Amino acid sequence: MTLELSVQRLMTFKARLLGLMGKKSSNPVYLPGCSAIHTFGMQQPLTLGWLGADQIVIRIDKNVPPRRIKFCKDALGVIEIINPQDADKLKVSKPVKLKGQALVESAFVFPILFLLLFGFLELGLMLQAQQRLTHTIHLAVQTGSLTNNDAKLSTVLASSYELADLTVLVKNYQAQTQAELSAADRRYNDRLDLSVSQPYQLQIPFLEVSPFALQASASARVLCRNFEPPYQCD
Amino acid sequence: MRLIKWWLAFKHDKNAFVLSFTALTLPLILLIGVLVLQSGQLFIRQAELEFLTRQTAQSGVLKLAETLRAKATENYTQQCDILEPPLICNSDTWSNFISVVEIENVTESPFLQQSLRTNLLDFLQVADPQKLILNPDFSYELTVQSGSLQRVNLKLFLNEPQDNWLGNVLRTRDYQIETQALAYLNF
Repeated sequence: MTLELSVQRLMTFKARLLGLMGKKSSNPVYLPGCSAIHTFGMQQPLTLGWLGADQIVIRIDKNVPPRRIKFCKDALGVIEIINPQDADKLKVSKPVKLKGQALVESAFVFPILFLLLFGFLELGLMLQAQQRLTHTIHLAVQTGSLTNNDAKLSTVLASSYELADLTVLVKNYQAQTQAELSAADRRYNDRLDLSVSQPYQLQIPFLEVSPFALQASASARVLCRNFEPPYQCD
Repeated sequence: MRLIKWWLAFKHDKNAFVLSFTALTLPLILLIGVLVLQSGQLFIRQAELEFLTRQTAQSGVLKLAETLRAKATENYTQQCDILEPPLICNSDTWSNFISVVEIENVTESPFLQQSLRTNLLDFLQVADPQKLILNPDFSYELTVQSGSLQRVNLKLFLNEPQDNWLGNVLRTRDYQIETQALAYLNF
Protein backbone atom coordinates (compact mmCIF):
# COMPACT_ATOMS: atom_id res chain seq x y z
CA MET A 1 0.00 0.00 0.00
CA THR A 2 1.38 3.42 -0.95
CA LEU A 3 1.39 6.01 1.78
CA GLU A 4 0.66 9.48 0.39
CA LEU A 5 2.30 11.43 3.12
CA SER A 6 4.97 14.04 2.87
CA VAL A 7 7.38 13.13 5.67
CA GLN A 8 10.61 14.62 6.87
CA ARG A 9 13.34 12.05 7.41
CA LEU A 10 15.34 12.65 10.60
CA MET A 11 18.83 11.29 10.34
CA THR A 12 21.09 13.27 12.67
CA PHE A 13 21.32 12.52 16.37
CA LYS A 14 20.14 15.99 17.37
CA ALA A 15 17.15 15.98 15.02
CA ARG A 16 16.10 12.53 16.22
CA LEU A 17 16.49 13.55 19.86
CA LEU A 18 14.31 16.63 19.54
CA GLY A 19 11.83 15.23 17.01
CA LEU A 20 8.51 17.10 17.37
CA MET A 21 9.32 18.38 20.84
CA GLY A 22 7.64 21.72 21.56
CA LYS A 23 5.86 21.86 18.18
CA LYS A 24 2.11 22.42 17.86
CA SER A 25 2.00 21.82 14.14
CA SER A 26 4.45 20.19 11.79
CA ASN A 27 4.81 17.83 8.87
CA PRO A 28 5.06 14.19 9.90
CA VAL A 29 8.57 13.04 10.68
CA TYR A 30 10.12 9.65 9.93
CA LEU A 31 12.76 8.09 12.20
CA PRO A 32 14.34 5.17 10.35
CA GLY A 33 15.90 2.34 12.39
CA CYS A 34 13.85 3.30 15.46
CA SER A 35 11.64 0.87 17.37
CA ALA A 36 11.03 2.91 20.55
CA ILE A 37 10.06 6.55 21.15
CA HIS A 38 8.99 8.87 23.94
CA THR A 39 6.58 11.80 23.93
CA PHE A 40 8.15 13.87 26.69
CA GLY A 41 8.07 17.57 25.86
CA MET A 42 5.35 17.22 23.20
CA GLN A 43 2.65 19.87 22.96
CA GLN A 44 0.07 17.68 21.21
CA PRO A 45 -0.91 14.01 21.25
CA LEU A 46 0.86 12.10 18.50
CA THR A 47 -0.19 9.43 16.08
CA LEU A 48 2.53 6.83 15.57
CA GLY A 49 2.84 4.70 12.47
CA TRP A 50 5.27 1.83 13.02
CA LEU A 51 6.92 0.58 9.84
CA GLY A 52 8.13 -2.95 9.26
CA ALA A 53 10.10 -4.52 6.46
CA ASP A 54 9.49 -3.01 2.99
CA GLN A 55 8.26 0.17 4.68
CA ILE A 56 4.77 -1.18 5.34
CA VAL A 57 2.75 0.06 8.30
CA ILE A 58 2.52 -2.77 10.81
CA ARG A 59 0.90 -0.91 13.72
CA ILE A 60 -0.76 2.44 14.45
CA ASP A 61 -0.91 4.07 17.89
CA LYS A 62 -3.42 6.94 17.81
CA ASN A 63 -3.52 9.96 20.15
CA VAL A 64 -0.53 9.06 22.26
CA PRO A 65 -0.46 11.77 24.93
CA PRO A 66 2.72 13.50 26.09
CA ARG A 67 5.03 11.87 28.65
CA ARG A 68 4.65 8.36 27.36
CA ILE A 69 7.10 5.76 26.08
CA LYS A 70 6.07 3.52 23.21
CA PHE A 71 7.85 0.74 21.43
CA CYS A 72 7.17 -1.83 18.76
CA LYS A 73 9.50 -4.85 18.77
CA ASP A 74 9.29 -5.64 15.07
CA ALA A 75 9.45 -2.04 13.81
CA LEU A 76 12.28 -0.84 11.59
CA GLY A 77 11.18 2.79 11.78
CA VAL A 78 8.43 5.06 12.99
CA ILE A 79 6.42 7.98 11.58
CA GLU A 80 5.33 10.60 14.11
CA ILE A 81 2.29 12.66 13.11
CA ILE A 82 0.72 15.70 14.83
CA ASN A 83 -2.04 16.72 12.39
CA PRO A 84 -5.18 14.53 12.65
CA GLN A 85 -5.76 14.86 8.85
CA ASP A 86 -2.40 13.28 8.17
CA ALA A 87 -3.07 10.62 10.78
CA ASP A 88 -6.22 9.50 8.96
CA LYS A 89 -4.15 8.59 5.93
CA LEU A 90 -2.33 5.86 7.86
CA LYS A 91 -3.63 2.37 7.33
CA VAL A 92 -2.21 -0.88 8.61
CA SER A 93 -1.12 -2.98 5.65
CA LYS A 94 -1.62 -6.68 5.49
CA PRO A 95 1.66 -8.38 6.24
CA VAL A 96 3.39 -9.99 3.30
CA LYS A 97 3.01 -13.72 3.62
CA LEU A 98 6.43 -15.13 4.32
CA LYS A 99 5.20 -18.57 5.28
CA GLY A 100 7.44 -21.29 3.84
CA GLN A 101 10.05 -18.87 2.60
CA ALA A 102 12.69 -20.06 5.03
CA LEU A 103 11.86 -23.62 4.08
CA VAL A 104 12.46 -22.93 0.39
CA GLU A 105 15.68 -21.08 1.15
CA SER A 106 16.83 -23.91 3.40
CA ALA A 107 16.11 -26.36 0.60
CA PHE A 108 18.59 -24.43 -1.55
CA VAL A 109 21.20 -24.08 1.16
CA PHE A 110 21.15 -27.46 2.91
CA PRO A 111 22.54 -29.53 0.01
CA ILE A 112 25.54 -27.24 -0.14
CA LEU A 113 26.07 -27.37 3.60
CA PHE A 114 25.64 -31.14 3.73
CA LEU A 115 28.06 -31.57 0.85
CA LEU A 116 30.63 -29.44 2.66
CA LEU A 117 30.08 -31.24 5.94
CA PHE A 118 30.42 -34.71 4.47
CA GLY A 119 33.30 -33.58 2.28
CA PHE A 120 35.22 -32.43 5.34
CA LEU A 121 34.35 -35.64 7.17
CA GLU A 122 35.53 -37.72 4.23
CA LEU A 123 38.79 -35.80 3.97
CA GLY A 124 39.30 -36.15 7.72
CA LEU A 125 38.86 -39.92 7.48
CA MET A 126 41.24 -39.98 4.54
CA LEU A 127 43.89 -38.10 6.53
CA GLN A 128 43.41 -40.55 9.38
CA ALA A 129 43.92 -43.50 6.99
CA GLN A 130 47.02 -41.83 5.55
CA GLN A 131 48.42 -41.27 9.03
CA ARG A 132 47.83 -44.92 9.91
CA LEU A 133 49.57 -46.07 6.73
CA THR A 134 52.53 -43.75 7.36
CA HIS A 135 52.92 -45.00 10.92
CA THR A 136 52.76 -48.65 9.83
CA ILE A 137 55.33 -48.19 7.09
CA HIS A 138 57.73 -46.57 9.54
CA LEU A 139 57.49 -49.63 11.78
CA ALA A 140 57.85 -51.95 8.80
CA VAL A 141 60.94 -50.29 7.35
CA GLN A 142 62.63 -50.31 10.74
CA THR A 143 61.96 -54.02 11.03
CA GLY A 144 63.24 -54.51 7.50
CA SER A 145 66.44 -52.68 8.33
CA LEU A 146 67.34 -55.47 10.78
CA THR A 147 66.90 -58.41 8.44
CA ASN A 148 67.16 -59.49 4.85
CA ASN A 149 64.03 -61.54 5.20
CA ASP A 150 61.17 -59.60 3.66
CA ALA A 151 58.67 -61.97 5.29
CA LYS A 152 59.49 -60.37 8.67
CA LEU A 153 58.81 -56.97 7.19
CA SER A 154 55.51 -58.20 5.81
CA THR A 155 54.53 -59.47 9.25
CA VAL A 156 54.52 -55.91 10.56
CA LEU A 157 52.34 -54.76 7.69
CA ALA A 158 50.03 -57.73 8.18
CA SER A 159 49.50 -56.75 11.81
CA SER A 160 47.61 -53.67 10.64
CA TYR A 161 46.38 -54.49 7.15
CA GLU A 162 45.28 -57.37 4.99
CA LEU A 163 48.35 -57.94 2.84
CA ALA A 164 46.11 -58.67 -0.14
CA ASP A 165 44.95 -55.03 0.00
CA LEU A 166 48.44 -53.62 -0.20
CA THR A 167 50.91 -53.16 -3.00
CA VAL A 168 54.31 -53.39 -1.36
CA LEU A 169 57.57 -52.49 -3.03
CA VAL A 170 60.83 -53.20 -1.22
CA LYS A 171 64.09 -51.99 -2.71
CA ASN A 172 67.58 -52.42 -1.44
CA TYR A 173 70.44 -50.12 -2.49
CA GLN A 174 74.12 -50.74 -1.94
CA ALA A 175 75.54 -48.09 0.39
CA GLN A 176 78.50 -46.99 -1.71
CA THR A 177 77.39 -47.43 -5.32
CA GLN A 178 73.65 -46.93 -4.82
CA ALA A 179 73.17 -49.92 -7.12
CA GLU A 180 69.95 -51.85 -6.61
CA LEU A 181 70.42 -55.22 -4.92
CA SER A 182 68.21 -58.17 -4.14
CA ALA A 183 66.88 -58.67 -0.62
CA ALA A 184 69.30 -61.52 -0.03
CA ASP A 185 72.21 -59.16 -0.63
CA ARG A 186 71.12 -56.69 2.02
CA ARG A 187 74.07 -55.69 4.16
CA TYR A 188 75.02 -53.33 6.90
CA ASN A 189 74.73 -49.65 5.93
CA ASP A 190 72.79 -50.37 2.71
CA ARG A 191 69.68 -48.29 2.14
CA LEU A 192 66.28 -49.91 2.29
CA ASP A 193 63.33 -48.22 0.56
CA LEU A 194 59.78 -49.35 1.23
CA SER A 195 56.70 -48.09 -0.62
CA VAL A 196 53.16 -49.12 0.12
CA SER A 197 50.03 -48.36 -1.82
CA GLN A 198 46.54 -49.05 -0.50
CA PRO A 199 43.29 -48.55 -2.41
CA TYR A 200 41.04 -46.16 -0.52
CA GLN A 201 37.32 -46.67 -0.40
CA LEU A 202 35.28 -43.58 0.39
CA GLN A 203 33.39 -44.02 3.64
CA ILE A 204 30.41 -41.93 2.61
CA PRO A 205 28.53 -43.88 -0.04
CA PHE A 206 26.87 -41.13 -2.04
CA LEU A 207 30.12 -39.30 -2.76
CA GLU A 208 31.19 -41.57 -5.57
CA VAL A 209 34.47 -40.72 -7.21
CA SER A 210 36.85 -42.87 -9.19
CA PRO A 211 38.90 -45.18 -6.96
CA PHE A 212 42.29 -43.99 -5.87
CA ALA A 213 45.10 -45.19 -3.64
CA LEU A 214 46.83 -43.84 -0.59
CA GLN A 215 50.58 -44.06 -0.76
CA ALA A 216 53.38 -43.93 1.76
CA SER A 217 57.07 -44.59 1.59
CA ALA A 218 60.01 -44.57 3.94
CA SER A 219 63.73 -45.31 3.91
CA ALA A 220 66.22 -46.54 6.46
CA ARG A 221 69.83 -47.62 6.69
CA VAL A 222 70.29 -51.34 7.17
CA LEU A 223 71.57 -52.00 10.68
CA CYS A 224 71.94 -55.76 10.81
CA ARG A 225 75.54 -56.87 11.13
CA ASN A 226 77.31 -60.08 10.49
CA PHE A 227 81.09 -60.16 10.61
CA GLU A 228 81.33 -63.66 9.24
CA PRO A 229 81.40 -64.29 5.49
CA PRO A 230 79.32 -63.73 3.41
CA TYR A 231 78.61 -60.67 5.66
CA GLN A 232 74.93 -60.61 4.87
CA CYS A 233 72.04 -60.01 7.20
CA ASP A 234 70.20 -62.93 8.70
CA MET B 1 26.69 2.93 14.98
CA ARG B 2 26.17 2.20 11.31
CA LEU B 3 27.06 -1.41 11.88
CA ILE B 4 24.52 -1.68 14.70
CA LYS B 5 21.82 -0.12 12.53
CA TRP B 6 22.70 -2.45 9.69
CA TRP B 7 22.58 -5.46 12.02
CA LEU B 8 19.21 -4.38 13.47
CA ALA B 9 17.78 -3.95 10.00
CA PHE B 10 19.29 -7.28 8.92
CA LYS B 11 17.87 -9.01 11.99
CA HIS B 12 14.39 -7.68 11.36
CA ASP B 13 14.35 -8.28 7.66
CA LYS B 14 12.96 -11.74 7.16
CA ASN B 15 13.31 -11.72 3.40
CA ALA B 16 15.95 -14.21 2.25
CA PHE B 17 17.34 -14.39 5.77
CA VAL B 18 18.53 -18.00 5.45
CA LEU B 19 20.24 -17.32 2.13
CA SER B 20 21.98 -14.17 3.26
CA PHE B 21 22.97 -15.69 6.61
CA THR B 22 24.43 -18.70 4.82
CA ALA B 23 26.29 -16.47 2.40
CA LEU B 24 27.81 -14.64 5.35
CA THR B 25 28.77 -17.75 7.30
CA LEU B 26 29.91 -19.90 4.38
CA PRO B 27 33.36 -18.25 4.07
CA LEU B 28 33.85 -18.87 7.79
CA ILE B 29 32.86 -22.52 7.46
CA LEU B 30 35.19 -22.93 4.49
CA LEU B 31 38.01 -21.26 6.38
CA ILE B 32 37.58 -23.59 9.33
CA GLY B 33 37.46 -26.57 6.96
CA VAL B 34 40.65 -25.49 5.23
CA LEU B 35 42.31 -24.95 8.59
CA VAL B 36 41.41 -28.46 9.73
CA LEU B 37 42.65 -30.05 6.50
CA GLN B 38 45.83 -28.00 6.53
CA SER B 39 46.52 -29.09 10.09
CA GLY B 40 45.94 -32.74 9.16
CA GLN B 41 48.28 -32.52 6.23
CA LEU B 42 50.98 -30.82 8.28
CA PHE B 43 50.56 -33.45 10.98
CA ILE B 44 51.27 -36.23 8.47
CA ARG B 45 54.23 -34.33 7.01
CA GLN B 46 55.61 -33.77 10.49
CA ALA B 47 55.44 -37.51 11.21
CA GLU B 48 57.31 -38.19 7.96
CA LEU B 49 59.97 -35.59 8.71
CA GLU B 50 60.48 -36.83 12.26
CA PHE B 51 61.13 -40.33 10.97
CA LEU B 52 63.34 -38.98 8.20
CA THR B 53 65.42 -36.94 10.67
CA ARG B 54 65.84 -39.99 12.90
CA GLN B 55 66.95 -42.17 10.02
CA THR B 56 69.26 -39.46 8.68
CA ALA B 57 70.95 -39.13 12.06
CA GLN B 58 71.29 -42.92 12.09
CA SER B 59 72.84 -42.77 8.63
CA GLY B 60 75.32 -40.15 9.84
CA VAL B 61 76.34 -42.32 12.75
CA LEU B 62 76.94 -45.28 10.45
CA LYS B 63 79.17 -43.05 8.32
CA LEU B 64 81.03 -42.01 11.44
CA ALA B 65 81.38 -45.62 12.55
CA GLU B 66 82.82 -46.49 9.17
CA THR B 67 85.51 -43.81 9.48
CA LEU B 68 86.34 -44.70 13.06
CA ARG B 69 86.57 -48.37 12.18
CA ALA B 70 88.97 -47.57 9.34
CA LYS B 71 91.14 -45.67 11.79
CA ALA B 72 90.95 -48.57 14.30
CA THR B 73 91.94 -51.03 11.58
CA GLU B 74 94.94 -48.85 10.76
CA ASN B 75 95.95 -48.85 14.43
CA TYR B 76 95.42 -52.61 14.62
CA THR B 77 97.78 -53.11 11.70
CA GLN B 78 100.43 -50.95 13.32
CA GLN B 79 100.11 -52.62 16.71
CA CYS B 80 99.50 -56.21 15.77
CA ASP B 81 101.30 -56.93 12.53
CA ILE B 82 104.49 -57.76 14.38
CA LEU B 83 106.15 -60.99 15.45
CA GLU B 84 104.94 -60.95 19.04
CA PRO B 85 101.71 -58.94 19.17
CA PRO B 86 100.32 -57.84 22.57
CA LEU B 87 97.37 -59.68 24.09
CA ILE B 88 94.89 -57.00 23.10
CA CYS B 89 95.38 -58.05 19.48
CA ASN B 90 93.21 -61.09 20.26
CA SER B 91 90.23 -58.76 20.70
CA ASP B 92 87.76 -58.52 17.84
CA THR B 93 86.24 -55.26 19.12
CA TRP B 94 87.41 -52.41 16.94
CA SER B 95 86.96 -49.80 19.66
CA ASN B 96 89.81 -51.37 21.61
CA PHE B 97 92.18 -50.09 18.97
CA ILE B 98 91.24 -46.44 19.04
CA SER B 99 91.57 -43.96 21.91
CA VAL B 100 89.14 -41.25 22.98
CA VAL B 101 91.61 -38.59 21.87
CA GLU B 102 91.83 -40.17 18.43
CA ILE B 103 88.05 -40.32 18.22
CA GLU B 104 87.89 -36.61 19.13
CA ASN B 105 90.49 -35.82 16.49
CA VAL B 106 88.60 -37.77 13.85
CA THR B 107 85.24 -36.13 14.69
CA GLU B 108 86.81 -32.67 14.55
CA SER B 109 88.65 -33.23 11.29
CA PRO B 110 87.35 -31.11 8.37
CA PHE B 111 87.44 -34.16 6.12
CA LEU B 112 85.01 -36.08 8.33
CA GLN B 113 82.80 -33.03 8.82
CA GLN B 114 82.57 -32.57 5.06
CA SER B 115 81.89 -36.21 4.26
CA LEU B 116 79.37 -36.44 7.11
CA ARG B 117 77.54 -33.38 5.85
CA THR B 118 77.45 -34.83 2.34
CA ASN B 119 76.17 -38.12 3.70
CA LEU B 120 73.39 -36.41 5.69
CA LEU B 121 72.40 -34.24 2.74
CA ASP B 122 72.28 -37.21 0.37
CA PHE B 123 70.16 -39.25 2.71
CA LEU B 124 67.74 -36.36 3.37
CA GLN B 125 67.20 -35.85 -0.34
CA VAL B 126 66.96 -39.52 -1.29
CA ALA B 127 64.87 -40.71 1.63
CA ASP B 128 62.30 -37.91 1.73
CA PRO B 129 59.07 -39.75 0.84
CA GLN B 130 57.60 -36.74 -0.93
CA LYS B 131 60.89 -35.74 -2.59
CA LEU B 132 60.31 -32.13 -1.59
CA ILE B 133 63.64 -31.54 0.10
CA LEU B 134 66.05 -29.87 -2.30
CA ASN B 135 68.20 -27.56 -0.21
CA PRO B 136 67.50 -28.64 3.34
CA ASP B 137 68.12 -26.27 6.19
CA PHE B 138 69.83 -28.61 8.63
CA SER B 139 72.57 -28.57 11.20
CA TYR B 140 74.15 -31.11 13.51
CA GLU B 141 76.12 -31.35 16.73
CA LEU B 142 78.78 -34.01 17.14
CA THR B 143 79.91 -34.61 20.70
CA VAL B 144 82.19 -37.22 22.20
CA GLN B 145 81.12 -38.46 25.60
CA SER B 146 83.82 -40.15 27.68
CA GLY B 147 83.83 -41.60 31.19
CA SER B 148 81.65 -44.51 32.26
CA LEU B 149 79.49 -44.17 29.17
CA GLN B 150 81.62 -43.76 26.09
CA ARG B 151 79.77 -42.74 23.01
CA VAL B 152 79.67 -40.31 20.10
CA ASN B 153 76.38 -38.39 19.91
CA LEU B 154 75.06 -36.98 16.70
CA LYS B 155 72.19 -34.57 17.14
CA LEU B 156 70.51 -33.48 13.93
CA PHE B 157 68.22 -30.45 13.51
CA LEU B 158 66.06 -30.02 10.43
CA ASN B 159 63.91 -27.01 9.51
CA GLU B 160 61.69 -27.60 6.54
CA PRO B 161 59.44 -24.82 5.19
CA GLN B 162 55.95 -25.95 4.21
CA ASP B 163 53.56 -24.83 1.54
CA ASN B 164 50.83 -23.09 3.44
CA TRP B 165 47.39 -22.76 1.82
CA LEU B 166 46.31 -20.33 4.47
CA GLY B 167 49.37 -18.20 3.80
CA ASN B 168 47.64 -16.87 0.71
CA VAL B 169 44.41 -16.24 2.59
CA LEU B 170 45.50 -14.95 5.96
CA ARG B 171 48.97 -13.72 4.96
CA THR B 172 50.51 -15.81 7.72
CA ARG B 173 54.24 -16.12 8.04
CA ASP B 174 55.95 -19.00 6.31
CA TYR B 175 55.37 -22.13 8.31
CA GLN B 176 58.26 -24.43 9.14
CA ILE B 177 58.35 -27.90 10.58
CA GLU B 178 61.25 -28.22 12.97
CA THR B 179 62.45 -31.68 13.90
CA GLN B 180 65.45 -33.05 15.71
CA ALA B 181 66.85 -36.48 16.41
CA LEU B 182 69.69 -38.00 18.35
CA ALA B 183 71.68 -41.03 17.27
CA TYR B 184 74.75 -42.34 18.99
CA LEU B 185 77.57 -44.81 18.65
CA ASN B 186 78.86 -46.66 21.70
CA PHE B 187 82.52 -47.53 21.80
